[in-house]
Amino acid sequence: MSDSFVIETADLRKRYDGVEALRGLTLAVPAGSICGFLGRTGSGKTTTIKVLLGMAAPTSGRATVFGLAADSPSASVQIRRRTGFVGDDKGLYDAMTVRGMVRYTASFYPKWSREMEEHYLRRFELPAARGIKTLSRGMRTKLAMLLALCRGADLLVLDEPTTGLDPAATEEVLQALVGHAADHGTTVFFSSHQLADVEQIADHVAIIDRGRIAVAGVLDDLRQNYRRIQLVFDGEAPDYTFQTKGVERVKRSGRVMTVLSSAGIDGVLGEARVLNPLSTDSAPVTLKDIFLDAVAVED
Amino acid sequence: MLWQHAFIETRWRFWSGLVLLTLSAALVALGYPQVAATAAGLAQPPAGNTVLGREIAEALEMAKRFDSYVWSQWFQKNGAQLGAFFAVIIGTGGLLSQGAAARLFTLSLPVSRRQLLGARAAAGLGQVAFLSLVPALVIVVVSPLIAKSFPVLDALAYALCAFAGCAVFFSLAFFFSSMFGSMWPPVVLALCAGAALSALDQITGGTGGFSLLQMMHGESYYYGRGLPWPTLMISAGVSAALLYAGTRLIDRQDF
Repeated sequence: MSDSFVIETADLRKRYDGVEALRGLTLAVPAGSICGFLGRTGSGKTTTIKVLLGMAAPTSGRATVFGLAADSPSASVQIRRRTGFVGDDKGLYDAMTVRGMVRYTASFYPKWSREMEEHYLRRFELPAARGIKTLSRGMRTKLAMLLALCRGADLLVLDEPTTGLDPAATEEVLQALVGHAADHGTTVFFSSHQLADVEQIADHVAIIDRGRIAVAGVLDDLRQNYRRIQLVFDGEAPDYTFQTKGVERVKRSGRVMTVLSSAGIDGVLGEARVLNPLSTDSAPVTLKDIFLDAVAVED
Repeated sequence: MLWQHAFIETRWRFWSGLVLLTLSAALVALGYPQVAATAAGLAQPPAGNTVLGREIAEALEMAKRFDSYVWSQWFQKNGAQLGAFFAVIIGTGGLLSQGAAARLFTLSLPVSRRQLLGARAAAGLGQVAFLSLVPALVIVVVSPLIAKSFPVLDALAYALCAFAGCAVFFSLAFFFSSMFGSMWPPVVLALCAGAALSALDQITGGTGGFSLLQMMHGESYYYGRGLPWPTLMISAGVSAALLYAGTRLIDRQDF
């Protein structure tokens, strides 16, 4: 692996009972980044995470974490020793108390920070003596976050960490995550449906669609490079195919043609002028626009 | 800590088994004076030419001596049946029957699946050993209360035989638990296997020293032939093979 990437996959494929969950996924997550992993339900986000953590074996292709092969049982143990994981169901042992769960998890990690543990128990207002079974979803998420943060992990892998949380709890969890990553240089790879969460904390984005990476890169670069160009004609917008590279999508509606471009905005504008529009307008797009374009959902 | 979690997972089944087996063993031993008096009061044993007649005659014969009575009523019958049942109950569960979310948490820990299953198997076998040993020792302890004694060495020998047999049932349930997500199919399958073995013993009259159930009852030790080492070894081998097969199944599974 190149030293600058914590997670790398190449042409990763995973088939479950005839269903192709991953279809040649190629991904690179830079060290120290907060990478939002976006995709629709069933697009392969959780499968990717399971393969990276050795919970599912890839059908073919390569997946490495810290340069270690994720499909090797012994390497997988080393990967997990350096990784904090929060699953989408915030799975914990219902038979234990909060304190028992913390002590149990701590026993697996030599770099566990007692100081940080006490800090997060207070910050998240977690009742140490309460049984896990009686915790609300918000409390479970906070406890799962505590367990992931205190182990001294170099990588945090979070599957839908804020699903089901109220806005205040979401904010609290995200702030804790960003603060921790900033203080410790931890790489964060988190899947989400919540575009707002990703926009708020991620610096890198990978959008997965039907088992493949559709868009990936630095979030600011994507925002800067993606442009929506609106052309207004005096009659029906022409049916025209752009030749310029970077045109992702063209949509016509009456007199208006909307072009989504991912690069080479000047070239697209130049080509558009050939069509003699009445007006041309170029505007930056949101992550939502990029996402919807990547997963080909009509907006 | 893996041990601790494995124990916590099955602790209620274990404690229930321990309480029930211990109380039953104590009651069997303490009930001897009444059984002996009833047996002595029977003037003439029934005719011995029918199966039922032979059974009754044998039971009356066994009731004449405390050690025979304890062996026939506890180590050969109640203790063996209850022990096998709780071994199966303790053997079920594990990764597949954990909730999906808790299972992913378990799998995200920095331990291999073999270590996880190894800890569960070791904790379970430890519990099964306790369930075999403690009731046997309780018989030794309560016997003086009725002015009888039961040798510690005999109790230990029977407990070893019971443990070896129960370990096979435990391993069978452990193996089936690697195939089914629900808790009940492994219980039913393992108990069916036990019933099949018992039926086979009834039909064939046992196959000498190589009957699992006879070994489990400590029959060879009771009849003065010593511990059935070959069967004990075979049982240990069968248990190990089942545990290994179960571990391999989990090792290869996607979660």
